[in-house]
Amino acid sequence: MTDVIGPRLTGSNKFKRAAEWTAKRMRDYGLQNVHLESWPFGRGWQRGIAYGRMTVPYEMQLDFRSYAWTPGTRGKVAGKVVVLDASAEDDLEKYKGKLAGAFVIPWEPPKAEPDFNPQPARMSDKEFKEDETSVPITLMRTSDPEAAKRSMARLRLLPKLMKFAKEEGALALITDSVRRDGLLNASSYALGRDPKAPESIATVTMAHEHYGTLYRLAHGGAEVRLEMEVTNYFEDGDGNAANVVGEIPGGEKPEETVILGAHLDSWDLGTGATDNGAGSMAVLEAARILRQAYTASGTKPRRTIRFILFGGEEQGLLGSMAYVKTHQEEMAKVSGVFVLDTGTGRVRGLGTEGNKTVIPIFNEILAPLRGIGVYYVNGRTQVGTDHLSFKFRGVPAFAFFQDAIDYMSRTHHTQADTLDKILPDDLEQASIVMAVTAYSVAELDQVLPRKSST
Amino acid sequence: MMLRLYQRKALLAIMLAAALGAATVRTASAGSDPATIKKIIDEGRTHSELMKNFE
Repeated sequence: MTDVIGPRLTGSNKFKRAAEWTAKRMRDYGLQNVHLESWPFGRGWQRGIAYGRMTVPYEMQLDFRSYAWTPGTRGKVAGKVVVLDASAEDDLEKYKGKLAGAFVIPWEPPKAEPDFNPQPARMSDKEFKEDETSVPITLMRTSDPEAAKRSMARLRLLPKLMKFAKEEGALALITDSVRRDGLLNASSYALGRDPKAPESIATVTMAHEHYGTLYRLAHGGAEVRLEMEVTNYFEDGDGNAANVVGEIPGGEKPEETVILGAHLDSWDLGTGATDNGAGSMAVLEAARILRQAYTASGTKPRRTIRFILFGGEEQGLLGSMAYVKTHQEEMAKVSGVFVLDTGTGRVRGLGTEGNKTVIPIFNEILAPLRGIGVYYVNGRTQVGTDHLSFKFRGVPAFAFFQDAIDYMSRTHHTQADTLDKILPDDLEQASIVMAVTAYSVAELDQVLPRKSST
Repeated sequence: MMLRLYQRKALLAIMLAAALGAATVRTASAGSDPATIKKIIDEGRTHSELMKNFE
C-alpha cells in the first residue's frame, strides 16, 4: 500500500485507490458487508514541485514543501524577504502596504531543543507507570508547555496571516517546520478544501535550518532575495471521502459490535507508513487472523467484529465523526472501539480513558498477551485519534499504547515517514493484540460498561 | 481493634466493591477460549501477510 499506491491525502485520487484496494483485501479475507461509506469532504489536492533558493546575499538551495490544499506560485517568482513580528491578528495592521511582491516570514523561529534522549525509544516501565494522567513523554514532541502554547497560538493565527498576505499581494508565506535535521512537517489546515473558498496564497513549510538562516539575515537588516516555484493541483471529483468498512458477523448478538479501527489517510511528504499505514495494515492483518481462526474452528464470534479504516483523521477526525453521526442509533450497541495510531512500535498496554470499571476486564483479556510484551492496563488517556469520536458519544473507546520508536521524533507527518521505518515484528505483535482483544471483547457476556456507570 | 460505625460501613463498602469487581471479572471472561486465543496468536506469528500488504 505505501510503496505502490503512495501517500493517501484525504479526498485525493491516491486515497480513493487505497480505499478500494483495502476493501478488496477485506473481501479477499472473507469479510462480509464490505463497503465504502462516503461522507462530504471537499476538493482533492495533489502536490507538484516545490523548488527555491536564496539568491542574495549568496546562493543557497532551500528545502521546503507546500502546505496541503494551498495553491502554487503560478510560475517562478522572485522577490525580497520581509520578516514580521506577528503573534496576534492585531500585529498585522502595521504591515499593511509593505508585503507586495515579498516572501513573508511571519515570526522568529523557536530555539531547536537539543535532543539528549537516544532515539528510537521504547517505553520504559517508569514512563508508563509514573503518571497515569499524562501522555507518555516519548509520544510528545515537546515537554515545554510554553513552547506548546506558542505553537498553538501561531497555528491559530496562520489562516488570518494567509488571508492578509494574499490581500497584500505577497508572493508566498514561509513557515518554520520546527523539526530538527532538515525534517519537514506537513501538519496544516486544509483550508483550501472547500471549493467555494477564495484562492489562498502559496504557503510552504521550510526546513528549520534554512528558515532560521533567512530569518537571522533579514531580521539583522541584510537584503535577502529568493526565487521560488511551486506547482500544486486541485482534483475536483465528487467532493467525497470515505471510510472502508467490513465485518465478521456475530452469531449470537449480531447487532452488537466490537470495532477495530485505524485511519487510512495520511499526510503526503512521505508515504504515510507509520501514520497510519501501520495501524491500517494491522487492522487488515487482525481481520485476516480472526477470519482464519473462525473458519478453522467453524464458529462465529458472539458479537459482530467490525473493521473500519477511516479517512480524514489528519484533518480533524472527520471520517470517524462522520461514522458516529451516520450510525448514531447503533452507538448503544457498540461494545468497544480499539484504535491503533502511534506508529510501528509494539503494543505495551491499554489506557482505559478514565473508565476504571473496565480495568479488571482488560487485565484479564490482555493476560494471555504478556508473553508477547503487553503488560499495562491503567486509566491513561490517548489523544488525537479516532477513538475520541466514539468516546465523545459515550462509547467505551480506546487507543493502544505502543512503543514510540521514532514516531514523534522523526516520522510523524514528515518526509521520513516511509516503509523502511516499519518494524515487522513489532507490527505483527500489534495485529495479534488487536485480534485477541476483539475476539475476547466479542465473547463477553455483556457489552463493556460505559464510563458514566462507574 | 474495634472499628467505629463509620469505619465498619467503609469496610463493608470496600468488601462489597471488591466482590462486585470479582464478579465483573468472572463475567468478562465468560466465553473466551484459551485454545482459540492460542490459535489466534499462532496464526499471527506464522502466516502474517502484513508486510506483503504494506508494500
